[in-house]
Amino acid sequence: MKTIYFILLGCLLMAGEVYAQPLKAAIGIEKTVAGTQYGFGLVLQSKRHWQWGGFYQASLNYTRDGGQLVNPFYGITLSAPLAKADRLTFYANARCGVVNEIFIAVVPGLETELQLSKKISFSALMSVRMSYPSAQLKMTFSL
Amino acid sequence: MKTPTVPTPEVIIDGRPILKSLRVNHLLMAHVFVSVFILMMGCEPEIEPIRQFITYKGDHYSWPRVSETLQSKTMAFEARFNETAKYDFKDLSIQSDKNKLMGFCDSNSLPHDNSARFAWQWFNDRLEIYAYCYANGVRLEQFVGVVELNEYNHYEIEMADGQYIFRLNNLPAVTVKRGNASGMGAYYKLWPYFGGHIAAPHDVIIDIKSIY
Repeated sequence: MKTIYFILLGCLLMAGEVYAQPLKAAIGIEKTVAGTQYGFGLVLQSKRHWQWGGFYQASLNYTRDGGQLVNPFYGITLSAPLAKADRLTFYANARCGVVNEIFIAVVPGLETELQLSKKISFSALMSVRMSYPSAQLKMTFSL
Repeated sequence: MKTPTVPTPEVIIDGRPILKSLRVNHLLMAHVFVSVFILMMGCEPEIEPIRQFITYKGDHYSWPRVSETLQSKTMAFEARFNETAKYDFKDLSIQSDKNKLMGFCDSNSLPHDNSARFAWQWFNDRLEIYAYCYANGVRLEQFVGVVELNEYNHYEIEMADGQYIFRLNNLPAVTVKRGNASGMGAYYKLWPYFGGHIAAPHDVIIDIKSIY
């Protein structure tokens, strides 16, 4: 839980530093070879559509006693725009972070963002997790 | 005579009729939800990721070359050997060289500094499995058990404080001292390697099913 607070705090501080840049919040679901992970993130977007921020995601392990978060993965994310066409934007993405508190992981990916409205966009991110392809779907809200 | 202009029923915002825009957005939303449903709810049965590693005759390293890091404090996998695991070097000192099966480097370490691996050798006409570690540059080996050919066996290496715990099927766990490397870092996985000093006398095939 402390980790989540740090990510949120970090992103808000960054937002203060770069006042003119809009802050976006995202919720997402990622399917990997090791199972499905659920998470959220906060990113800043520059005028040239570069995005950077923090993210947190984890798997849910259901037992008789209830759900439990396992294999947490958190860190920083950076997206560089490759091409833009009307409502679609293509990004090269990299996520760098820590899995299970000590294991450093770097995840490259390609993201397609579809602008649904001024405030809401939808993204599909194809990455390589644990040397197998993974797919992530994200809903992003401009704050 | 000038004809009167008919008022448009649509409100124009950003040069785009809002009603039309809403209609497009509804279509997009529907498209998105269908995509989510298709991507996440595929009804094909899950497959187990099995890789077949081949160490070709005269080589030490196996193919395919895989680069992967560990993301859990327990590395678990299943491995299957076949008849290609049998070899006879006619010299017991070479015959007892340990071939590496799978394991990992400890935090940011090289294999010969701090690492933990399962190793194997064809000895006494049977396939013997060993715990094979480096702790601060010192090599440590310990017998774990014997496995049969042509069947999957379950292997686990757990990182604990100051020790590695090796488990093979339901055999008693074996503990080996762990070096000083620990904490946050990259834990590179180590894949099959033949030898020792002598390269593979023929193609050696090992099937490995990683458990994530």
